[in-house]
Amino acid sequence: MNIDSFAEKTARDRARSLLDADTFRELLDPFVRLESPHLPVQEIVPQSDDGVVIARGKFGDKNALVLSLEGGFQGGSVGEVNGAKIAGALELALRDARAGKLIFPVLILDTGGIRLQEANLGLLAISEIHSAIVALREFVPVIGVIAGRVGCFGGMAIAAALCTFLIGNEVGRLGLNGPEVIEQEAGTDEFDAHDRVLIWETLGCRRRLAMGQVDLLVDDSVQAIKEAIVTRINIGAAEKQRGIVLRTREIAVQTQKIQDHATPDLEPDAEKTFSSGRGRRWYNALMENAAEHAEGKSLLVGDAQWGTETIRAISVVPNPLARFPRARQGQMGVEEGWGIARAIWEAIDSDNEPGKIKHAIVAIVDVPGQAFGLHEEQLGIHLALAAAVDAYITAREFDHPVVALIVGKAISGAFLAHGLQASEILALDDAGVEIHVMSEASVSRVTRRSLREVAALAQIAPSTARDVHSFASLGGVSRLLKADDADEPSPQSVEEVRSEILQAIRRARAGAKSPPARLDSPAALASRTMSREVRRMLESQWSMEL
Amino acid sequence: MVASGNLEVLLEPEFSAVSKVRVRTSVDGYREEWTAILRTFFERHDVAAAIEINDGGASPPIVLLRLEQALEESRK
Repeated sequence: MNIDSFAEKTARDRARSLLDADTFRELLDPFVRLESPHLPVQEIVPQSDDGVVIARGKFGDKNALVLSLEGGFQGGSVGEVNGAKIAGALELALRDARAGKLIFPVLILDTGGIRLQEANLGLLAISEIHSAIVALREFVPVIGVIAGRVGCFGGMAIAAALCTFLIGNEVGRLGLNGPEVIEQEAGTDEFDAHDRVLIWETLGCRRRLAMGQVDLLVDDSVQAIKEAIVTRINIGAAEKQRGIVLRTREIAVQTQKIQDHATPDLEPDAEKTFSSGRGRRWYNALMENAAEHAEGKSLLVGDAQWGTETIRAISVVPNPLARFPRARQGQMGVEEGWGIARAIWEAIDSDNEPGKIKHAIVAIVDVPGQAFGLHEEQLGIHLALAAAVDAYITAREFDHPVVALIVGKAISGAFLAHGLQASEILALDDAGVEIHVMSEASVSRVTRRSLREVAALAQIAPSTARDVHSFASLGGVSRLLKADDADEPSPQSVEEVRSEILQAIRRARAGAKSPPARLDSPAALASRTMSREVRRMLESQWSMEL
Repeated sequence: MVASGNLEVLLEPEFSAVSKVRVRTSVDGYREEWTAILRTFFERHDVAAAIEINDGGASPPIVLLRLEQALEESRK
């Protein structure tokens, strides 16, 4: 038996054991009792730390911040409170880094991703975590550790891919979609969630190391993990991290891997589609270069001149001919994720000269979800989506106005990768607009509730509802736009929407907003009270001397 | 304070003579078992404490063990 096992420890003991002896200081500890208010109303017993430990301490002479998710509580899932604890701590570390005080963050990721009971609140929190990681990476290496029994999935797998340096062990697994969700969404033929060998060969950290998606594989011991962290921190202190993690800029390498990957030779299934086709119609209406994008593409990218603004619009659309069958109906797959990254980096690189007016990036959002498939996981779809997230955040940080327009569905990982990092999110005020984190069938399976219970829940917990008004009530949308017909908009409606986008671009040029700015919106003041309270209390405990 | 994934025990000194215990559990219908665990604990230890237990389905011996650990930790 390994007495030094990291995986066997609780989240708190993991954080304590990594930090230098007697330097562990927990912020917002359980006696502060910041628990999830959303779980008791759903008859789930909350915990007083909401499943995350935020600790400051030392690695030698360096200040450290350890964020450790508890896989044993609700599968390490991220909800409003623990999400705000993580995002808030990273935001404070960023504030200090900008003031010249370096704090080295370590994320211990034992998490299934978004907490389905808190749904869109978790989604928003994770978009804030992504934004903070990328901004912080410019100052210090952000280190991720995947070494627990749950592994690291969903939006937090994207967060892992955004880290500067990712450490795994043989216990850890990493992937966008967990086996059970893939099986639910795509069937047993796609992925048998009981096939343990398949799971480890696809998602295990050893496999991820071979794919270059984990940087280092270590033994399951506290000492091995601590050594790896300290070694990386000592390199990082000397080397500036300017906005780039190679993993998410390896577009050419990854595109080649995707092209070389054998995919099933299935017939095009044009008949069956989840998508309204709105992504294509709005793209064509706004961009007027439809001819370039007739068929055979799942990603529409084009430039247009709107007055003084040069617009680069991006839309993911159904493509019955796509090589990856699970991404044929408008889903965000590996090709789409890397394609978005390419389109944005082209704009960033071409405009990166003094005095040049930077492209405004407009994400037209109608994505029914990420692609649930074996081939996607084999290639590392979490990394493809991280590349898109990374590109959107970097564009924003490099002063490109980034605006999202939701015209149809904006679901989960696909929305994280395409929309949620915008400076502003606009949405059509229409019943066909849906924002949520997982299909009702999968929510039902994962949370062990009946479909009827899942539907009833949306009535009492707006974060689990799917309509645009509920999402707007969380402060997720800056403007709701009227269109006469969201499916077939009149030219006048298109012009009104164009004018709204231009106004949002102007506001972004005047001062780009990162995701946490949504917390100050009038809607969020009323609905995201815990997200705000957690940050306020975290700040009050942050700077006490060690 | 101790926690082990599905069970959290928060123990604080109680300055009145009477201990206060709040149990939240995901498993219904075990009032007698909880009473027995807590009786055992308070028979062993003559303390006045405010205790909160957040239980996600732990077994009685584990609950008792965590209570002991929480008391030990609070004395450090």
